[in-house]
This record gives sequence, structure tokens and C-alpha cells, in this order.
Amino acid sequence: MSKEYKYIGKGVPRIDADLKVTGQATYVGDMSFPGMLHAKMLISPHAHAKIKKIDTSKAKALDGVAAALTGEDLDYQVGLYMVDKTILAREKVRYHGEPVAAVAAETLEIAEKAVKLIEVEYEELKPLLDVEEAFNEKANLIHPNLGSYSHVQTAFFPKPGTNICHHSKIRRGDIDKGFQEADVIVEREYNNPSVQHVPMETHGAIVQWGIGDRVTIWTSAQSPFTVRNLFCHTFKLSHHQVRVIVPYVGGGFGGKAGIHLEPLVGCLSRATGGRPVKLIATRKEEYNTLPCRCGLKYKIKTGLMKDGKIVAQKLTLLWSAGAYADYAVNVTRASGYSAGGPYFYPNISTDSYTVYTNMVFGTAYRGFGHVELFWGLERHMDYCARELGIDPYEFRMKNLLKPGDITPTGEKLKDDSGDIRKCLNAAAKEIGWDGVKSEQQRIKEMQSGKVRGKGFAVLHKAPAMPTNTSSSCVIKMNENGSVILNISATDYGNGTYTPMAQIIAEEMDIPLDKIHVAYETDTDRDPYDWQTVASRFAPMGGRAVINACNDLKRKMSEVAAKVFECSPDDFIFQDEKIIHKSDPQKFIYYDKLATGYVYPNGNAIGGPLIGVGVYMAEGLTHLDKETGQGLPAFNWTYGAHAIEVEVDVETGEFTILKIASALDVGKVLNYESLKGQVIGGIIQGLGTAICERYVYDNKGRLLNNSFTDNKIPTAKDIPLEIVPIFIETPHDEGAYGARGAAEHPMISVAPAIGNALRDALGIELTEMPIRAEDVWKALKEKELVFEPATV
Amino acid sequence: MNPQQFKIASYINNILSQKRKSRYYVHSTFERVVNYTDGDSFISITDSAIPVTPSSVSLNDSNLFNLIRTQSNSEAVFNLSYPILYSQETSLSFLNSDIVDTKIDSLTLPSKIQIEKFVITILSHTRSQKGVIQIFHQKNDDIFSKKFSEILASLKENILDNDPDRFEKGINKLAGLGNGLTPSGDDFIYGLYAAIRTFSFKPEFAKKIEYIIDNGKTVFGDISYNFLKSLRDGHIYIPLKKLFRLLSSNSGCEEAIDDLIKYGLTSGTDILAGVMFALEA
Repeated sequence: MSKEYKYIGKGVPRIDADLKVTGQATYVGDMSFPGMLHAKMLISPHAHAKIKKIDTSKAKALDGVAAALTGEDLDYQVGLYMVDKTILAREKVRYHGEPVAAVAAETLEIAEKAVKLIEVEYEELKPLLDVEEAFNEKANLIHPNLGSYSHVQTAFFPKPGTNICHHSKIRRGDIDKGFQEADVIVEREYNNPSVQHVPMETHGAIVQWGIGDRVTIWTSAQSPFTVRNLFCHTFKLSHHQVRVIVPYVGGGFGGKAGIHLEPLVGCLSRATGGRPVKLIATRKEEYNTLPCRCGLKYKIKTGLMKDGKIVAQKLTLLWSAGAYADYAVNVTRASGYSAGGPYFYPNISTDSYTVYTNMVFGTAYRGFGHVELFWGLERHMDYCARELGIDPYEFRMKNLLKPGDITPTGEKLKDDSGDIRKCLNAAAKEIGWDGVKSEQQRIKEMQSGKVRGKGFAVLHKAPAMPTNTSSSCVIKMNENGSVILNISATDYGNGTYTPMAQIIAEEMDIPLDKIHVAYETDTDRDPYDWQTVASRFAPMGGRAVINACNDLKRKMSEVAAKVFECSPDDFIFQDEKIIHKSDPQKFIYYDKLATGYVYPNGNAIGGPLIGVGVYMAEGLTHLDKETGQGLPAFNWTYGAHAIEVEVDVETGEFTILKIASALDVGKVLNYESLKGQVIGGIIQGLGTAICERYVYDNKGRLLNNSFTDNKIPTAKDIPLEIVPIFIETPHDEGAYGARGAAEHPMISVAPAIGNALRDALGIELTEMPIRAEDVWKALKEKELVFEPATV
Repeated sequence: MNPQQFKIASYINNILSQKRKSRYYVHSTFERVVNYTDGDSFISITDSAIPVTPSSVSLNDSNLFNLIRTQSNSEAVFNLSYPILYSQETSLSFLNSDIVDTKIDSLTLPSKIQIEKFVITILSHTRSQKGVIQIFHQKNDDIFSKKFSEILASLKENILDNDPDRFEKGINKLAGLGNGLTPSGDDFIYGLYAAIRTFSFKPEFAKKIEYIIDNGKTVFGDISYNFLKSLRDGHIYIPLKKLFRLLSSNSGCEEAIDDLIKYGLTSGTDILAGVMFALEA
């Protein structure tokens, strides 16, 4: 029986809710400083063009303009894993929306007027808009200097002389032999377009480049220490010279994980003699200039035995990075080692490529490549099952991973690795899965004008992170025994801070209303944390918080041991008191220890109580360049989505009647918060499944850079019934056994819809999004569509 | 077939006729094959140059061999220097046959470069072969080839124009075109349809072929009808499946092409022609 906790697992309301709903939470856009200037960017109207001439003289001459910069003024290279980007375009532009110049002025209106006065002469070049075309070794080069770019050499492998900025391989078993042995081979291509993160708050930064190159950055970012690190690398500054402050953040979904506007705003500040400069991206710029989710085209080839066993799987993934590598190379890497999904393969071969194209560059996005990957993978598994004439549920159950199995990178799964079977079983049961619909039944239902279908899709994901990823925190006890937690994980809407408070409450037995998690992370004052990405903070950051509590308790025990002349091991912590185990009459309230214990005679011992906690995932390794063998994953979170849809056969419109999301989260830390993540994730997953996508014209110009043309889900799209199901197979390393579950709720929503639509109508869709018109079109064509025979 | 062989063939025919209590008549005669029919079933007597075909069962592998040996009371038949092939009922099911696989692969269309290489390989291996393939070697000097050539040109246009209805009419013209148990037109359709099925393209055209097969008992040759029907039901000729796998994985296809060419007198090359036509179109 699992342990009963006082705070852990309870549906504690979000600790920041009041401030947010009353508008008291302060975001970068709300901030203003004396003498602050406003910035505006001039963006490229072309997807690929040489910059022949830029003239900023008219802009500079405008009253109120303090600085106007072009790429020629800024000879710096920026990059996260691959240093391939300049702050403003130099010599040529590589995507429609790339900033080519920027202005800082007294008001935003003046800045907007000034950028219009900048004259740029371009010579258009042919853009590469198709990832397959760009992948071709004979294609024109978007980055001819790829070979000279510095990059993280242990993880990324560019191919100079091509547009391939990374190639990730996985090789396990004998793939050729596997296919030779297969009774049947099933191969199909899948496609995903780029989409926007659409955070409520767009990117924004204020930077003051002060005297002595001391720089202060206020930014809407997920990872203050990453911003500081990359900023320092770009400008060759020491880390102590740069201070990054992240106030409340209105959503990120991965789009704010790296560094974006900060270097440009810093340069504008420096050019104005150190005045603070503010730049807030418009929604159009958020679509056009800031990064999006990468596009993906891929082919899956599966060798199957007639009994339903998978014997070989070959995957070829072409990730469209857009103009710059940013996070795309790591998305490629992570999706590469994860590409098989939670299935066992005796023989597998994966080639995952990051390819430059002349489109908006891609970055991290909730799911980190897995939403795109699982769309095809889980549609494919249904397809395989159908080709074999096996129920897709049974087919999956035959092949899903279990403890003792070896993953494609050579990791042996353990009992604490999670239970994918339980997830699939729970989700399928929730929608009442009773087998695939027969054609006769389908025809019968179609006569009524509405057809229902059921489908499901499994998922897995591990945090994609460096081998030395770590978190740290400080807990300071106040005079009244309340505590303040300083961490550098940012709560950008994901609700991370509330479970951290619960952990302190549980460990210290302090009421929640006496725990404050300090918002506004500050690299000068808060301890280091890698990044708030990858669904890793609850399990890993939570461990750091537990360790900090233990440190605090150790220090309290040492003082109490002196007071009661006993061993520091003799105490328990309960009801804000440190109590002697065998003599409960001996106790001290926390507040009496907070700043040092004072004896009746006035003598004092101890001192201010500060607990320090760190946690690092140990034992991870780099992956072998040629085979991908190694240990990349801190843990895997498994899950499954099951969906029932109803389709109007006249219009193709479909309603999601029910969606069940079953995740093996290890341990629920905060039920309400997790439920919120699941509902939010499902709706974001729906967006990607049913409406969102970037549309370019044949010159590479983004046509739908607004909410008018690029639809995101609204209230009417929300499923009638959402059922979150949490399986708890504790993970040995996670806080209280918890695993990350922030990204997972959106990962396999799209393929579950695709599979449900296949069940309802017998239509095959391989490209996202699935809009009503796509369903209608497929339905109209279905009369002509070849139906594979089954035995 | 020399007079001696023909005599032996006739002898076997007599035995079989006694067994079935019906008379077999010569259905068609080729250089190395004589086909007999009694209206419901076929017997093919071939010489040693013709290997076992999907539509036939070797006497050496069947109970019929024992039957013949017993009834003939002689070892003479057994010692024939060429195989004797016997095809079963025309309603022969390929379900339990070891020459077809009950699973058709579903592969993605090979790249243009791969297809070009494949076509070159086929052409280089079939220069001396007869049948439809000669058209692809630009040899259409006989009436049969001319007729075939016209139909194929028209079919190609129909595919390019995305006109499944006219395509259906063209396929109807091909069905049954040629001689023998498996006329070249039927084999060509087999190759064409197998390629469309395996590589999942032109579904609307596949649908048309399926319609013709479903209603084609009297249109196709009796054996090829069953062979096509089995493909329609998801059972594919194994050497062809192997060829598609190699093609899909960008591996060398020479050996597989040669294996297919060996099938029948021209059936293998006719099937290959159908495959080539489908992929090029």
C-alpha cells in the first residue's frame, strides 16, 4: 500500500492564482524604467535574398531615434547547440521575417515610424521550401559556412557542404535480416507542418547595458541561466557581469527555452550609451520572426510476422529546421533515440536529420519532437495491425515494452521504468474499446448521417537534456518559522511552484500558507538551474527541494541536539516543531531556531537557517555517433490517449465526444495541477491535430501570421468529456517517485483522433492537421480508395 | 515438343481422362507447352526448359504422380527427362499454396532514380525475351505487339490525365489478350495491379482493376483469373514480393528479375512489364 501523505498528491490550488487573476502579477510588458527606450525591428520581406545595401540615415535623422543598427554593425554569432546565427541578418536573409535592422527610440510610435524609413536593397535568391529538396546533396546551400560553425561536438554532427546540420543515428540488431525474415513489410510516409507556440505573452525583453559592461536583462524566458550563458558567449563577457531577471511569464511551451531577443536589445542599449531598451514582439513577429515548431517529413518501414510481432523497423526523419538550427538539432537527436516509441524491436535503424530550409526557424516545442513523431508512428501501428488483420489493441499489447526489454539505445528497462500496458488498458477501457468497426456497420451508421469511431495511441518521452543536467535551490527560514524557496526554474504557467511548496510542507510539516516560492528568478540571487524544459522539473527539481529540506532539518537537528544534549538523529519534525523521538515533551518550535536558538540566559547558538539542495541525474552518457547506443534518458513517462469521435458524413465536421488520457506519472504531486496540465495538453494537442499550421507561398512568404488565418482551438473545439487517468508506478529517482508529465498530455492526441476517424469512416489521413475539409475530401474519395484485403 | 514427348503427353492425358471420366482437348500449343482442358480443369505438359509455375503443381510433388505411376504400370513416365506439370481445378485456390504469400507488403513508392535504375535492369535482362516486354524494347512489329502497344499508350495517357474511367476501358481491352493459360495481357495486369497495391498509389485506378477482376471470370484466362483473384484477395506471388522489397530498399534487383523471368514462357516478363509500366506511369 502506498504511503499516505499530508500534502503530496492533494489538489492544492495554484499558489500564484490570485495574483494572476487579479492582474497583480508583473510581466516584462508591464515594466518601465526611467529613461527607457522602445525598440522595433525591420524584418525581411523575402525568404532568401542577398542584402545589397541598407541605408539607415533617414531613420537616424528622425527626432526621437536614439539608435539604428544593422547586421553590419553587429559582428556576433549566436547559437544554442550550433552557433549559426547573427543578431541581425548579415549579407543575406534566410527566412521571411528575419530581422535585418532595428531602432531604439523615445516612443514605440517613433520606433515604428523609423524602421519604415530604413531602405534595404535585396537581390532575391531561390528559396528552399521543401525539406526533401533541401536534403538533396546537390541542393543550394543555405549555410555555405556550416563547416566553420562551432557546435556541441559530443552530441551534434553536421555535414558541411550540405544543408544537413545534424544527423542522428540509431542502429540495433540486424535490420536487413529483420526485413528478410518478415512475413510482411508495411511502409508509409507522414507529414507535419510547422506550428506556433502561441503563448499568451509574446517574447519580450528589456536590457540595460550598464557601465563596465555590467548588463541587466529582464526577459520573458524559460531559462534564465541559459540566457545568461549564451549572452556571455556571444559578447565574450564573464558570467558575473550579466544578470538575468525573469518576472512572471505568460506561457512559453518551449518557444522561450533558449535566447532570442536579448542580444539585439542589449546591442541597442549599448548603442544608446546604456539606456534601458524594451522590445516586445507583436503577434505577427511572434509568428514570423520568433521561432516555431519544426516541420517533419518521415518514412516508417516495419517488418512484421503474421502473428503480430514486429521484427524490424526503419525510420527516416527529415526535420525542417528552418533557417537556423537553434533547438532543432536537439529535437532531431531526441526524436531519433525515441523514434521507435514504447515498443520492442529486435532490429531497428533510425536516421534523423536536421535540414536547413528557408522558413521560420524551429525550436523546442511542448513534446520536443514527439508530437510530430507520434502522429505518424501511432497511425502507422494501427495501419500495421490492420494489414495483419489483428485488433490494434492486441497488436500493441504484443509489442509494447516491458521491464527487462532493451530499448533501441541499449537501455534495459527496470521495474520502476513505468507501465505502458496499464496506460493503454486504462485508456481503451475508458472509451469502451470493443474492436474495429466492420465495413457493414460503418455503412449502416453512415445512413444516419453521423458515424462514431474509436481510436487510441500510446506515447512515451524522456527529458532531452545534457548528461550533467542539474537543479539547485535554497530554502530560507524566516523569523516566524515560515520559509522562502529560491529556485531558478521558471513557473511560466506550468504550475511548477505549487508542488515545490507542497514538498516543503510535506518534508518540514509546515502549513502551505507559511511557504513562499519566490517569483522573479534572478541569476544574481538564485542558485543555478539548467532550464525549465523537458518535463523534468517536478521529478528533478523536486529532488533538489527534498535535499534542501533535509539540509535544513540537519542543521536544525544539530542545534536541537545541543539544546537537549542528545544525538542529532533523535528528532522528528512535526507541526512546525522539532521533537525528540522518545520524549515528545522535548521540542522546539521552528521559529525559535530560525535565526538561532537563544537559551534562557541569553546565550545563542546556530544562526539563520538556510537549507541548500542540489540534484543531478547521474549515470547518463553521450550516444555513440554511429550506433546511438548509450543512456540518454533520466526516465521515461509512458501514456496513452483514447478518443471517441462523431463525424457528420455530409460536412466532415467531427466532434470529440470523449478523450481519456492515461499517464504513468509515477506519483501525483498535485492532483489539480496535473489535471490542469492534462486538459491544457490535450487542447494544445487538439490544436496541432485539427487546425494549426504554417502556410507559405511559393516564394517562402508566410501567409498566415495572425489569429485570423492561423486558427488555434477555441472553446467550441474542447471535447465534451475529458478523463485524466493517472497510473502510479514510482520511479526510483523522481521526487516521491514522480515523473514529468507536462508535455505528454499532448503527444498522442493527434494520432488517436486519426485512428478514431479511420475507425469511423475507413479513411486514411497521414498529414496533420486534420480539418473538417480534409475529412470530407477523404470521405468523398473513399469510394475510389483501395481497401487492402485482410485474411 | 518432339513427337516422342507429344506421345507421352497424350498418354498421360488419356490416363487423366480415365480418372476424370471426361475427355481432355488440346487448348493451346506452344513451343514447349501443350495445354489440355476438359472445360473445368487444365493439364499442361511442358518440357524441361519451363520451370514450375504458380499455376501448376509438379507431378513429382503431387499425389497424381503416384496415380500415374500406378496406372501406367511403368517407370517410363517417372523417368521422363522433362517435368510434367499439372494444374488443378480452374477454381484453384492459392490460399494454401507455397508459391504465394498471404501478405502483400505496403511500401512507399521508390524514388525516381531507383525506378530509372530498375527499368534499365529489366530492359538489360529481357532483350531476348518474348511477350509484352518487347514493346519496351521498341519492337512492335507483329500484330500482337502493335495491338498491345496501342493499348499501353492509351493507358499511359489515361493515367497522366487522371482518367480512371478510360483506364478501365483500356484494362478491359488487355484482359485475356494473348494466348495460353495465362495470356500476356492478364500477366501484364497482374504486374501492374501488384505494383499499385504494394506501393499504395493510384488507388482510384486500383479500384477499377479490382472491379474488372471481380467481374472477370469469363474475361481473363482461367488460370490467370484465379491468379489475379488471389492477388485481389491479398495473396501475392512470392518472387514478385521479393522483387518489390529489394526495389523499396534500393538493393540490387538483378537476381529477383531473373527469377521472375523464369516464370512460364513469357508470364514472368509480362508481369515485369506490368510492374515497369506502373512505376514509370
